[in-house]
Formats: sequence, C-alpha cells, structure tokens
Amino acid sequence: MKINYFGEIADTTNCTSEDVQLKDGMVSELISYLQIAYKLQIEDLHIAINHELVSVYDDVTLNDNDEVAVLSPFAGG
Amino acid sequence: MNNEKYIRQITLPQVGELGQEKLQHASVLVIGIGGLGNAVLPYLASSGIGTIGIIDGDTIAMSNLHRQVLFSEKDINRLKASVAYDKLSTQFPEVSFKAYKEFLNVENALTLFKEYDIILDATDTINIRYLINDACVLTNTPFVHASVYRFQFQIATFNVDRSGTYRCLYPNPPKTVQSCSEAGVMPGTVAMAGLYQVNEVIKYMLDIGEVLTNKMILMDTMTNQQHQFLYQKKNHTFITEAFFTKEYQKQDIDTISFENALKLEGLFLDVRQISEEPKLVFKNYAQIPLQNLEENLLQLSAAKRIFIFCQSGKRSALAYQLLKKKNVDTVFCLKDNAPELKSKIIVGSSGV
Repeated sequence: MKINYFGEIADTTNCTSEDVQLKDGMVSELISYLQIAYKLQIEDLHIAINHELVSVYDDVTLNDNDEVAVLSPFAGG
Repeated sequence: MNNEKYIRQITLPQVGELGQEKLQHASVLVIGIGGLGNAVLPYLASSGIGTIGIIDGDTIAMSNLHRQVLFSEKDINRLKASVAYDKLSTQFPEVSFKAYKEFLNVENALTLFKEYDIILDATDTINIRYLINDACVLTNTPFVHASVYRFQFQIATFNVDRSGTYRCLYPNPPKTVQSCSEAGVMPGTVAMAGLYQVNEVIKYMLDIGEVLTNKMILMDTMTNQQHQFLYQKKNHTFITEAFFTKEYQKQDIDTISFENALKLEGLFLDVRQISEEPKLVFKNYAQIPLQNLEENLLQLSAAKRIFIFCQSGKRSALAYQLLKKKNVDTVFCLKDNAPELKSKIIVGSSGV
C-alpha cells in the first residue's frame, strides 16, 4: 500500500512516499510500523484516508487502493 | 472615500462599490509580524481593509530581513510592531492601523479579539495557535491560519459560523515540531502562504467564493501539488473562560545569560537534534534532543543546575516546562541559543 508523507514526517521517513505491506490492512498496523521503523510518536501523527483525516485511535481498515497520507502540524510563519 | 485607488478591484463583479464599502468597514487583527505578517499586511491594507491591528512584542533581527520585507537593516533591534506601523501608515494613510507592542497572551486575547471581525494567525509557534483558537471560540471570532514547513504550507479558516476549529484539525499540540528559524524557509514560500490568507480574509469579508472551512489545504511548492484534507467538526465544550485562564496562565521561565551561567556549576543541555548545526563542544555540555528528554531524565540527576538551550529558544522553553513538571527545580533557559553561543565560544568566553 502506498503511503504519502508530508512536512517533518517526510523528513523523518526520508521519503515522500513508500509502499508498506500491512498484514491486516489496519490503521493500527500502519501506526506500529511508523513507530518501529521511524520512532515516530502516535501523538505526532495525523492520518488521512482518501483525503479525510481520521483519528489515529480509531482502528479503520485500509483498502489497497486507498490514498493514505501521514502528516503533522507545521509551526513556521 | 476616494475609490480611485481601488477602481481595478471595484470593477470585479464580486467586489463592486458595495464590496469595497464592506472592506472599508472591516477589521482584521494580524497576530505576529514575521514572514507571514509581512506578507499579509501590505495586501490587506492595499485592498482597503478599514482597520488593521498588528500585535507582536518581538524586535527585528538580521536573520528576519530576507523574508520580512517591511524591515531594513536600520530597523534592527527596533520593535516590529512600531516599524510596521510607521511604514504601513505612511503608505496606506486611509487605513486605520493599531499597533500592539506586546505578545498575545491570556490577559489580552479575549478583549482584543472582541474588537475585530476576523483574526489572522501569522505566528510561528504551535502552542500560541491553541490560545488563538480557544480565544476565537470564546469570542465567536473566525480565524485564518497558515503555517509553513520548508517548501510546504498549510492553510485553513476556522470557526466561521461555528465551523470546525484548529482543535478539530489537530486535537492536541505535538510533542516536537520545528519553526522557520529551526527548519529554514524561503521568502517566497512564506509569502505565498500569506497571500492565501489574504484571499481567505477577502472572501470572508465579502461573502464570496468558498472559504476553507472544515478542510485544510497543504501546498507543496516543490511539486506544485495541492492536497486538500477534510476533517470532522467536533464540539469542544471544555473551552470555557475558566479553562482558558487556567490553560494559558503565564508560566514564567527563569532565564540566565551564558556568561552568568558559566560562573555557576551546572550542565549546559542542548535539546536540538544531533544533526543540527552549529555543532558545539564545550565544558559541561550535553545533548539530549527534546523528544528523548523524558526517557533520559536519569542522565540529568547528577547536575547541580541545568542551563537549557536550542536553536531559537522554543524547544528549550518546552524542555524547561517538562523538567519543571518532573520536579527538576534548578533549571534555567539560556538567553543565548546555539547560533549566539557559537560566536561566544569562538571569541573565547572564559571557562569554555
């Protein structure tokens, strides 16, 4: 499944998108992957499925053709 | 009013004489006169907005000048609000400017917001956005938000007729996030973000087009891709005046100069990421990035005093609050941060 990263998240993952294999296709699996692979913290993650932000605490099922984005607030101004 | 100046925009069917009159009676409060503030102020004024408030307690530094185009080298160390007021009042005499030479805080926010039709968030720290958001909810005032990270920016308009708020988009402040001074920014990127904000203000005041409610635009200027993210409106009934006062009570931070800290026995704690420049090495120096601080408190247990610094002072303030919460009492924020420390160390401050 293709995951798109934005802002500081993309700097942490060192890529703007990547294919991630999720066994059950759940949001919780994606979060675990981001925590383990990149040491990202759940409080700093915001996930959008097909351009709609979902709570990282709601365990939603992802479909293979879903457009998934991981982003965080920006600070600069 | 002499409408000759505005004739090109009055010609637009979406504006017209009536629209121009609406703008003339409109009032906007711009919070922060950094990169975004410098981009929005001339265009809000040149559109003929009647009253523009500008609030910032900061002074002008050399590193501001590349993107804060209202300022020049002769203005360094002067208050941003004073310089912006002088410059804008001269260029746009028909606009009523009000300069507030202080930072927005729990004491002035509610009174100020009640005086304006719409708030424009041009700040560069996340925590102040929650104060702005909550003050807007309490005063039923809309606000236009923009924030920048390197070549990307986010834009959204909140609390329009009780539409979603910043807390609906981002419920809680993140643990770590970088500002322009830490992450770097090009003038053009922050100016683009500011002009999107001006556009939102104009649409709102004229009641034309579609304002960005219940959605956020993320623009990537490197790829020219624009992403729109929808979020769910939630009711945050906990935002009351009592909550507001308690949440944003001023937390005084003990600060100390580098020179005075050197005279005392203590540990200089750098809370920047390991990769950040400039690299510093001196006596009693330790580096623990802010996001790892909580799990490494043991490393600090032997220190008699802790002097925290980072790149701009923002992360050291967060580290200070974290250490205070963990009952570490003898903690200070250094008035100087890594860029200033580098020059002080190079010129050979004693004891380093």
